[in-house]
Amino acid sequence: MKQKDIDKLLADYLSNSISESDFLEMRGLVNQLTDDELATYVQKAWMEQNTYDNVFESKTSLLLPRIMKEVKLPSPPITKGKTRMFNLWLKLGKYAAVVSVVILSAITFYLYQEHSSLQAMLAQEVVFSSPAGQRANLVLPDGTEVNLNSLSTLRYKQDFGKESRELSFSGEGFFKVAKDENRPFIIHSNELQIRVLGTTFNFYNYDSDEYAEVALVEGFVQVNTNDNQVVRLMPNEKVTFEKKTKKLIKTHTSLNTELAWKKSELVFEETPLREVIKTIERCYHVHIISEEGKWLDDCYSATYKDVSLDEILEILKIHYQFNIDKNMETRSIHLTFRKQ
Amino acid sequence: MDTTDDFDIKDLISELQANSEKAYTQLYNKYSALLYSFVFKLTKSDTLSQDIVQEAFIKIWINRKKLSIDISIKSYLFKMVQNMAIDAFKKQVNKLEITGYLELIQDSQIPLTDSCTIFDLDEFEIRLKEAKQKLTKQQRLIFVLVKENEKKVSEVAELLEITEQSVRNQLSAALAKLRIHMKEYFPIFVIMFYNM
Repeated sequence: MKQKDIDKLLADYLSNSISESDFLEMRGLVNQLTDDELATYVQKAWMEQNTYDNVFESKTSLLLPRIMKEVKLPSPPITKGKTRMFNLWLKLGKYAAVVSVVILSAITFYLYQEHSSLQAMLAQEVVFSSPAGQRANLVLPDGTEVNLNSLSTLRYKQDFGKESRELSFSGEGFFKVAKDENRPFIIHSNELQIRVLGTTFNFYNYDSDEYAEVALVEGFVQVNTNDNQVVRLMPNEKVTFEKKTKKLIKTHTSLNTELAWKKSELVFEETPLREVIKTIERCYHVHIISEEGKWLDDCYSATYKDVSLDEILEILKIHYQFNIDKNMETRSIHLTFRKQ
Repeated sequence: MDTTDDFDIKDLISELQANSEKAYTQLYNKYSALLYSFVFKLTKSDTLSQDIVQEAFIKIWINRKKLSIDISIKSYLFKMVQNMAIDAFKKQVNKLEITGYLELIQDSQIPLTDSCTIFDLDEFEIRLKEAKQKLTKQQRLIFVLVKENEKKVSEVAELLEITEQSVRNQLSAALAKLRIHMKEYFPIFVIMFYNM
C-alpha cells in the first residue's frame, strides 16, 4: 500500500479535516521521522500559510505586554474600552438569589476618616465571607468568578479593577480570573501572593492551617512568598507552602483532591480510607486525627451527594466502628477505632 | 509575499538592528497572529501557542543584531521556534484524547473560536475527564479500552469475559452520558463525537 503524502496528511491535520485513519497514519509517520525531517515538512506548511483568523490577532495583542516586559521594553498602550461594571450587577443579581453571601461594606472604615473625600469613598472595602459549612459563588467587578469554600473571606477596595485588580483573601477559593493583560490580578494572603493575568486555579490558605496551597487548572500563575521565593506553575501543577519551614514544594496533581470540595458530590471508588479522610479534611476544612492501623488502608466505595460533615462521619462510623471526638472550636476530630 | 512588502521588511529589520522599539512592535503586529494561528493549528493548544509565540519574539529581540536582511522573516521566525514547536506537535498528536477532539471539531462544523474563547485540546481534555467521572466503573473501563487504547470490541469482550453485545451496549450507554455532559459545556457544538 502506498503511503499517503505526508504534506497532504499534515495539511488535513492543520485544517482539522483529517479522517481518523489518516490521522493514525500521520501519527505513525510523526513518530518515525527524525525531528529535523519533521521540521522540514512543518516549515513547508508554515511557509505556505498566509492568512489567519482575526481572533488570533486579539490573542496576540494581549500577549504583547508580556513579551515587552520579558525583553524589558515599555509596553505600548492598548486601547480597550468596554466597562464590565454593568455586567457585574446583572450577574450579581443573578447570583444573589441562589447564593448565601454576607456582604459587609466596611463603612466603619469610611466613618473613621476625618474628611469625606472621594478618595475615602473609593477606599471603602467590600467584604465577602462565606459562613461555616456553606459555600458561596460570586463575580468580581472585572468578571472574575470566584467560588468560596466555607469560612473564607475575600476583601477588595471599591475601586477594584479601575487601575489594578488586587484583593486579600483567606480560606479556600476557586478562581476563574477574567483575562486582562494590562491589569494583573493579585491576591494577597498572609503567607503567599499570587499574580496572574487570566487563569483558573484553586487557592487554599486558611489561617488556622499549617500549609497553604495553589493548584493550577489552566493558564499560568506566579506565586511569591513573603521572603521573596518565587514559583511558577503550569496546568496540573500545585505548590504547597509549609508555614513552619517556609518551604515551597511543587508537585504534579490530577486536581481531584484539590477540587473535590467544589462538587456537591463526593465520589470514592475503591479509595483507601486514608485518602477518604484526607478528602473530607479538605472539603470540610477540618483536621481529622485518626488512630493508626490497617483499617486506614481499607478500600471504601461510596457516592455522597450534598451531605454534611456530620452525616458523612455517621455513615463512616457505621462502617468502621470508630468513636468520634469532635472539637469544633479547633475544627479537629479524633477518630479512635474500637477493638474488633 | 510581494516585493514592496519585502522592501518594507528590510527597512524594518535595519531599524530593529538599531534598537528601534517601534520597528519591533510593527514586526510583532505584522507576524504574531500569523505565527499564532499556525502554531495553534499544529498544537491545538492555546497555552502552547502563547508560549511559542512569546518565545519567538523574545528571541528575535535578543538576537536582533544577528538578523540577516536576506533571509525571509517567515523562515527566521520558524527557526526561532522550531524545536519548541516540533516537541509540542509530537506531544500533542500522541495524546489519547486527540482523536476524540478532532472528531468533535469535524462533526460540529463550527469554528474553533468565538469572539473571546478558543476551544482547544486542553479544554476538551479537562471536560472529557470530568465527563468520564459520571460513568460507572465498567462503562469507563470499556470506554478507555475501546476509545483511548484503540482495542477492538471483540478483544474487550474477551478481556472482561462478557459478550460482545454487552460491550457494545455499555459503550453506547457511556457515549450517551458523555455527550450529555459535554453538551453542558459546549452547547454551541452539535455533539456527535465518538460515533461507533
